[in-house]
Amino acid sequence: MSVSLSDEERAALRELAAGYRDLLRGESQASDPAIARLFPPAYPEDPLRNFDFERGAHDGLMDQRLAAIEAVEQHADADVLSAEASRSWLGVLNDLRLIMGARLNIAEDTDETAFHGDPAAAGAFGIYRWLTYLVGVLLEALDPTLSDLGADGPPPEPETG
Amino acid sequence: MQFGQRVASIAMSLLQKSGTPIPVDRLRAHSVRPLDPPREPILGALDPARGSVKTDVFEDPVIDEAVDADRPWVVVVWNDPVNLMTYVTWVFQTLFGYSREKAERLMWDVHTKGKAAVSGGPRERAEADVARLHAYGLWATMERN
Repeated sequence: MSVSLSDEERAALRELAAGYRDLLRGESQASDPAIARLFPPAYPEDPLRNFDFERGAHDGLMDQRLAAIEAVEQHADADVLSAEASRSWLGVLNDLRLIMGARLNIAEDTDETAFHGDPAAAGAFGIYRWLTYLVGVLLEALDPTLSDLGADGPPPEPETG
Repeated sequence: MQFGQRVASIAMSLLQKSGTPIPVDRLRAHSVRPLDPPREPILGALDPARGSVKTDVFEDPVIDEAVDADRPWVVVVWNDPVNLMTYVTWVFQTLFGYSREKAERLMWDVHTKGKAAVSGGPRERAEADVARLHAYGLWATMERN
């Protein structure tokens, strides 16, 4: 797919990707809700089983995320993205939304009015919105039929009984 | 502030934990329950006044596992306020090879009912699916059918 982003936007992607890598490589992650959102428990009710799950899955998941970040940085100036590279972009952009969603306590109905009086949070929410837009554009490029989704609301429940 | 400067400060702030308390319902899946209090046999074993030493103190919980081994696991995806409906549908199609119709129905279940069972099977397979969903940023857990 072809990419038309300004130099400023490309620089922003690089900054965010680097910030994301620093977060992943940071210390004291256990108590960070953003990290908890990226690495959720498979067994929320069973700490012992979950410990085993994380021991098996965490490193692989971390490597995948770091590799995707690297792919975004490699292709940050590209005018054309391969399908594989665009999936890396999609993953990183969506992870950034999850991180910012946790930082900003975003709910389904959160809009800019939630951040009146807090310019830093309002600025962050603007970036979040921009990332949401990019994710939408990427998805539509990967599968144009997705843009039809949701216009009519959920389909009716099948008749039962 | 310039867009670029703003992004730089945002990128820095990715590293900072929010000062705002996280709503309790967000923490639900991350809470770790304290271990159950010691049961009677353990007290009996340690306290001579309570009777003879029991030999079944370290009863092996694997017995439960053996009895339940045939019960399949279900992989559950939970609603969250960030992942887009189109993204969730795309992940279900891409990850599991589901048709658009099936992926969309599961997405609507997640969105309107709060969760949906998206796959399942033996424990190892369910764990692998959960890990793949986590790689895509979906909030997935697994439970017994």
